[in-house]
Amino acid sequence: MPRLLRPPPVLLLGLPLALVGCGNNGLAQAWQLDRLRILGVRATPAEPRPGEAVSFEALYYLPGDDELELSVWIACLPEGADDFGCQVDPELLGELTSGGVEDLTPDEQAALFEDLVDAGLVGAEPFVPPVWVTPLDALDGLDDQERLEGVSAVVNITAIPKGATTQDDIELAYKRLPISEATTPNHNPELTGFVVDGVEVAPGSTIPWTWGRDLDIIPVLPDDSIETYTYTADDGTVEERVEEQFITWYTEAGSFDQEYSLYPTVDVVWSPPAPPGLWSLWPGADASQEVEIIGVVRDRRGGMAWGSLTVALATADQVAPLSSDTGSGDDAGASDTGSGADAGASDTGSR
Amino acid sequence: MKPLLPTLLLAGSAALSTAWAQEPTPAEAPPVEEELPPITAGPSLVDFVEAPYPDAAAAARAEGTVRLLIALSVEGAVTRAEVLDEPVAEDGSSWGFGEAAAAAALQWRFTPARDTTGPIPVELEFAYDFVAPEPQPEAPPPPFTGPVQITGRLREMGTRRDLDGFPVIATDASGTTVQVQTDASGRFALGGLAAGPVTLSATFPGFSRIDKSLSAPDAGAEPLDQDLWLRNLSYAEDEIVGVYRIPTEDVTRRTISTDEIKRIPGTFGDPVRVVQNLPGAARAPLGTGLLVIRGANPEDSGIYIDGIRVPLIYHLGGYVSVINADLIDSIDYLPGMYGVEYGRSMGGVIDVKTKREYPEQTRVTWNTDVLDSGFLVEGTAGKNDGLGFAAAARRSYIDAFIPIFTGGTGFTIKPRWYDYQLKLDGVGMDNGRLSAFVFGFEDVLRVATPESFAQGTDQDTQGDIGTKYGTHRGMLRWERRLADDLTLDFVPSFGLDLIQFNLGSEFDVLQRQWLVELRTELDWEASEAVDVLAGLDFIGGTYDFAVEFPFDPTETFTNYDPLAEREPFTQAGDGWAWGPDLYLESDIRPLQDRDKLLLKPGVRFNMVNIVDQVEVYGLDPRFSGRARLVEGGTLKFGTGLYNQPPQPFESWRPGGDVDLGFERAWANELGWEQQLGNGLDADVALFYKFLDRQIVGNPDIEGIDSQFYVNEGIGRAYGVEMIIRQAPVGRFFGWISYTLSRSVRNDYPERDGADPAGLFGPFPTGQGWYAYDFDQTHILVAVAGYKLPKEWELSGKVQYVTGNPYTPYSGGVYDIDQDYYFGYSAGDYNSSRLPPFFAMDLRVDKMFVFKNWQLEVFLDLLNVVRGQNPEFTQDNYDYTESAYIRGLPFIPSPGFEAEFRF
Repeated sequence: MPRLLRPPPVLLLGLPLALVGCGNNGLAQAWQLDRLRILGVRATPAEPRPGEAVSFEALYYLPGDDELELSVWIACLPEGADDFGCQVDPELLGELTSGGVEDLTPDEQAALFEDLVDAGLVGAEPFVPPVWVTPLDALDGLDDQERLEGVSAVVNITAIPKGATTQDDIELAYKRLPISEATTPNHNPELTGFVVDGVEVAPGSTIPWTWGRDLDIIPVLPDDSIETYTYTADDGTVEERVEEQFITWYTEAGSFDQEYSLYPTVDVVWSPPAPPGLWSLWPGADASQEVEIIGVVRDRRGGMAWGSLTVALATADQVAPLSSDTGSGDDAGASDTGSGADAGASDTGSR
Repeated sequence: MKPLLPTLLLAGSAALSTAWAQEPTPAEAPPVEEELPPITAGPSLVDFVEAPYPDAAAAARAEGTVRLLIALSVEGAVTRAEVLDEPVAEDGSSWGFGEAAAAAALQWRFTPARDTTGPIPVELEFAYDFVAPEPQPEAPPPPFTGPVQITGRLREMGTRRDLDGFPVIATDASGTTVQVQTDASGRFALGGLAAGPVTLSATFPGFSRIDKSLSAPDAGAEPLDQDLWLRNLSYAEDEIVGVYRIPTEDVTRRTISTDEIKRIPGTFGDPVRVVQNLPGAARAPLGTGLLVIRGANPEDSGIYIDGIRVPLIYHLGGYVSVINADLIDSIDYLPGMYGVEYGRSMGGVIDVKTKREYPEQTRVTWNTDVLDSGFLVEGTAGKNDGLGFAAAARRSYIDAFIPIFTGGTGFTIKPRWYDYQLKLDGVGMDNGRLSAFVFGFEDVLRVATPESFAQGTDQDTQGDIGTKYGTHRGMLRWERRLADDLTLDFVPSFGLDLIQFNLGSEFDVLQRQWLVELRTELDWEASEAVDVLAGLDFIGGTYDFAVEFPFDPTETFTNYDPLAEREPFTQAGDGWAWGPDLYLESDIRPLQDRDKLLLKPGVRFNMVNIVDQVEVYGLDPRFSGRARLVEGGTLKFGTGLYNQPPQPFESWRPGGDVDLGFERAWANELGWEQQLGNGLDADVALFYKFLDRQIVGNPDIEGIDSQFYVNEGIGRAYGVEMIIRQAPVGRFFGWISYTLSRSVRNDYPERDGADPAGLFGPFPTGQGWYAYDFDQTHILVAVAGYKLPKEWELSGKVQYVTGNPYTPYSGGVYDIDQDYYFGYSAGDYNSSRLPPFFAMDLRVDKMFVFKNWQLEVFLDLLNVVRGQNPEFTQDNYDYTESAYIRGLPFIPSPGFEAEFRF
């Protein structure tokens, strides 16, 4: 108590900011799909043991006719990471992202590849699928309790679209990968469908919908997708904990009432864009008048799943009532294939 | 020729009518003037010598008012009489009014003005009215004989003040005129009139004339009772500065009196906010009340109310201060080089002084604007009106309006505040003065969200947000002259500070402090040349806190992993702390002309003992002085150390000692003041402040048991401040204030610029020198007000300020697990600047005067030029786009204040 208790100055700022400062300012919103994005990355298994092989798949979004040129995957243990993921020699990445790899001789390409492997390269899509065999010594130095909780390794993803000319064109992301000897290791959640307007449809479905009418969307998460697991607290208490999943929502047009939804209140309301010719705060539908909506599920333990819907907008007299058969069959069986391609945007460079 | 009507001008207002200059009302100091503590007793004119009416003027029946600036010595003698303004002939030649008035004034004698230390030299502005002689009746009306036929009472409209010594004239149908003068209670009695129609008249310079037709009863019948009301032609006079101390001590103490500046636009009628328009004060974003003085952090400036330290001076949002504006007498604004009586801060000081003078009539004011409503009751009571009292309270209602704008969103934002003040003052005590003051305030901000709404991806951060903080104080003040040369000022106080914050059901922070403060000063006039001040500034008390988080917050800094399992974190503690600072200071005036040279050495011993946590000591030697080198021109200079203890949260460490010392500033100043005549003066000051031992985050932090902060930072703040001010004489007042400054920091100079650990995100961990967050190179403020006829007043303010620095981002890296982009900077911390700020505010006031009350209505027009002033930058989710958060839009803000007197 050397000085008087003083409310932080930010409190003085809080009210005026709340009143005037934080309104819409035209900036792109996180849920707005209008550029290259890495929306999710799924590791299988979600929580490997040391020495176990892990395969990765990413959910990319590319607008219009854009295509992905290259996606570089680099993995490291936490000692080799900082606030922005694995520490990689910028010159090495520069060689990759400069777009001149094709101009290198085979020997130079081999040398570059060797350098990248030394730096932790585990994949280079579409040429080398990302797979990492986790180090056997990943948990060395930890006591038994700590080995149950494990460590979080890091995987960097650098997505380079075709025609990239500047750093701004590239998307950088990183994900942690828990490596442990947990008795109840994590598994990826599943997203088996959506309930739209009271009707359950499969991921990948196309939904006919009316301009100007809000759409309630509830993701369908199977009961066993919400895992119960064992955790030993610092004081030795063994607890059973239940995953707290959340869904991040994205759309090409229109808007959401919230960009996240948290389990168990997981529904969102999507508002369609204004019909063609009318002003819209957010981007309108393209000429096809079809809008893609994507939900990405995270279990907060590193596990992920995703699914998408396509909304075909039309006037009320052109829209038939929804049924469970609506638009199904395109790619709804994604979870069975294990490919992760359960959403139209999920295949590497598919859009 | 009628007698001359010398009347005191309170800062150049119109005549004070019957005051006859015998008892000039002690008034507040001008808005910008160096000054010591408030004047507790104004000078009274006891020996008056009438100025001869210049012959030529008398022959031409010329008349008018001469405004004099009169300097009084500590004995009350007039040492200088300067003509500020005088009436002139149409051809511009002088009638000689000024010369005559100044010559007469040099022969006057006043009772000396006083403050708590005794008599003091002052300057006052004096209006000497030369009124051309009315054609005199051939013979004055004889005193009436016979019984009283008409009685009544003459009072001033609006204030209900009894008008003493005013002539009341009755003329009956036969032309018989009878004149009497009102007595001390304004009463009059007339007789000797023919029964029937009578015209009853009253008039006086400075007042409108009233004529009342009535029917006089027969002589011997029950007298007719008829009250009369006179309208003062200027009701604002008692709101303006009149008497102010000749600057003699602190190098830069700018005392702001309240009433003039209440009308400055953009202040919501709050005088404390005017500080932000003075040199050295940076512009606060979004019109808030952040106090950034001479490049210091907001928390580095000390805030006092009647000498007692309080944690903050503004309510939530920074729009209004925590003290009712009508209760504030003056505000001392000390941007630097203040004396040793102030400590525990490296930045500036603001000391709000509450009223010490109370009207004999009970006065009630009620004010309302878009934010809140409040009232004040003040007056005197007891034997010989020896007890002054004031009570005030205020409550905001902005929480009632906000839902109108947010109703459709499901969010409910409810900010509210209240404050209260109660003051009792034994003004009539012999050889001393005892006063009691209780005040407090509380601010609450609640943000309620729908249950289904996700505020983020984290379950632990869902739910309502609330913050509350409050301060309550009770204080006594005993001032007593122990001997002719020894004065005691004893101020004990007791209070509570509280902060509470919660987010959802998982985050909860509560901190309380019960405080005892004691300020005691002994002022010894050792000799004509030496005055010694010894003081104790004690603060002590208990504290307790409780923190509940859903996770260990230190892991956020050390090894943050969103996938790691969380364990609830709770921390609670209590303890006590104390700091008995001692100070000693001397005013040395070695020359026979006491005002010519003042040397002011002082030293302050600082100590803070947070029991079982921190015990630190510091010594603040300070030296300043003033030298009047030419007439009206004064050199001022100073140098000194300012130690500041760590903030409570900085010195907190669970289960261990904290090796954390005072932060320190070495401040230097060199300046010049020049009086330019006619109430115009200028002030320029160079300042340089070096900061060391600044508290910054500990880059070696390893966990919850680590010490969070270290004394490694350094900094510099330097620049020049200047102000040209026109005192409120006549109808105009205003000032132009300009500050050119630079404020920079270096958080880890001993680590060779290397990022020690990269732990603190986008903060300047290792880049060396960087611009301070509120570094504003140019700060230009122009303020002006003009009194229009019929109680209209127009005022305006123009601001131009360099934009604040900010850190640009060029992109972000996506953390897939957190679903959050971390931005990476395109440059160093604070390496870019926002565009300049430009704004113009206007205000118009109109006063309506009724028999029993006055109503002042105003309209503040904020940002009338609709400047789109950027205040902050906001980046989009992936840091590839940015936009400005702009300042307040054009806001018309109406309000009113009603005043009643009983």
